[in-house]
Amino acid sequence: MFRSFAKVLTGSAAGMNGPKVLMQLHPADLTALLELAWDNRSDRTDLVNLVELKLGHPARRSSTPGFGTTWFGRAAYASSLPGNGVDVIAAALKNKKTPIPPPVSVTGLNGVLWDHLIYAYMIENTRVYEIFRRVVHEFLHGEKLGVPGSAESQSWLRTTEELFYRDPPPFFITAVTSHVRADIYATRRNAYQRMFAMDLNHGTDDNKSYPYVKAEAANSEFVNTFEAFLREVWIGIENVNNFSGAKPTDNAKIADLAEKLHDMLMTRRQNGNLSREEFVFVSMLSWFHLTVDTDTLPIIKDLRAEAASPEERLFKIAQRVGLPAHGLSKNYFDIADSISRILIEIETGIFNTPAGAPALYTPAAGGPEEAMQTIIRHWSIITGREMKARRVTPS
Amino acid sequence: MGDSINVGASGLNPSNQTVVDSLTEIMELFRQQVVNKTPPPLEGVADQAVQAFREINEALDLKPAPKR
Repeated sequence: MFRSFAKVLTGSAAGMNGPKVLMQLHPADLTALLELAWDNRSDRTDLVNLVELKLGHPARRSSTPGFGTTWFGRAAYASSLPGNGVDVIAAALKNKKTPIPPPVSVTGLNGVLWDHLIYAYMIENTRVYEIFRRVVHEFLHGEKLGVPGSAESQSWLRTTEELFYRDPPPFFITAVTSHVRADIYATRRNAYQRMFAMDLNHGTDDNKSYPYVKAEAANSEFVNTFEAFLREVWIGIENVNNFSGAKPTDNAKIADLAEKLHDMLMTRRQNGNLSREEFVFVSMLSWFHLTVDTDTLPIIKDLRAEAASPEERLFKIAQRVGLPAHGLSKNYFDIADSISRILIEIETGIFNTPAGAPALYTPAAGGPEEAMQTIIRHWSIITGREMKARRVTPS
Repeated sequence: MGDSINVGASGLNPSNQTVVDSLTEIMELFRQQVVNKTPPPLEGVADQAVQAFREINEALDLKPAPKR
């Protein structure tokens, strides 16, 4: 959510540095904005294209009530907003909420949507969370990294510690730790394992496997199915301009695989399961993604991490704190948005019939084909398995 | 070399004529491919899927809902 907030701020006035303004906000205001985003989430309950949306659908992720439904929350929301950027973001969140009828959209979206859990998984694989934990640790315990050189950096430090390296305040949607699940690192890994049957590519700082509860009910077929899906879509991309002879593109197979992915992901999301964790974790990782996304933030200058790209900034910071970032961080950063958006679209069910498949491999302005190309390229590099080659099966 | 050669109206051996016709057909398909490199516009559900992807992008970027 934080990258979306920054974009809103950047677009609100000429010369506005959205990330910089956002990172000056008080952690209480940032928490309130997350709460407002949850309150204004898409919650379509009626028919869309004659289909009743089940809880867990992208246009109806959860029925868990937000802060605004409470006595305390109603009073808080009724108060005037500070004019430091909070007002701009709050207006964008409220404007996103539209009345339910008539069904003007294909997806049924009628409010705020957040990234798919896969976004958090990809960004966390760069090791950005552990690297910034060391940054915060060093700044708070000594002067090995120097001292934060400005009020803005001091503000970033305070907010980052308060929002992401301590237990969240109770009663808010962000409160996903308790006596039952005390370790938020383990809770994230548990969510990734349930949704994708994938663990992060790193363990503890001393290279031991990280202990967490592994659920029995997990999408153990996700990777195989997703890779088969990528391979079939690549065949479509290769042959999109093939108008003569046999065409190996198989729309029915693409639809079968998309439906399989849809079914397994939506099974994990039954009755809105995992939506809250997803909301919190994608927001958390987007804060760190945003921090390394630009050279203009004072904290990047203080860390002497100016560079041409997010991964190069992260590599510099990692070197300073003595914890290496993942060597394929560029690929993780580059794949995160595309794969998030494609999985959300798969969860709408629109690719469950062969008629929808051509959209995945046919170039169209603003369509999913470009995102598919990005995913195929980076997934192949990350996994070391070439998605542009036919799978070889032993006979 | 001593076999007789049947010559058709076009002045070619009929078996050669078949080859020429096939090559002409292939060349025409190739020409069409070159001329018509752009795939036909998406229709129906595939077109809706493109629209859905745009809606998802706009929702994630907190842009106002598109007017349709």
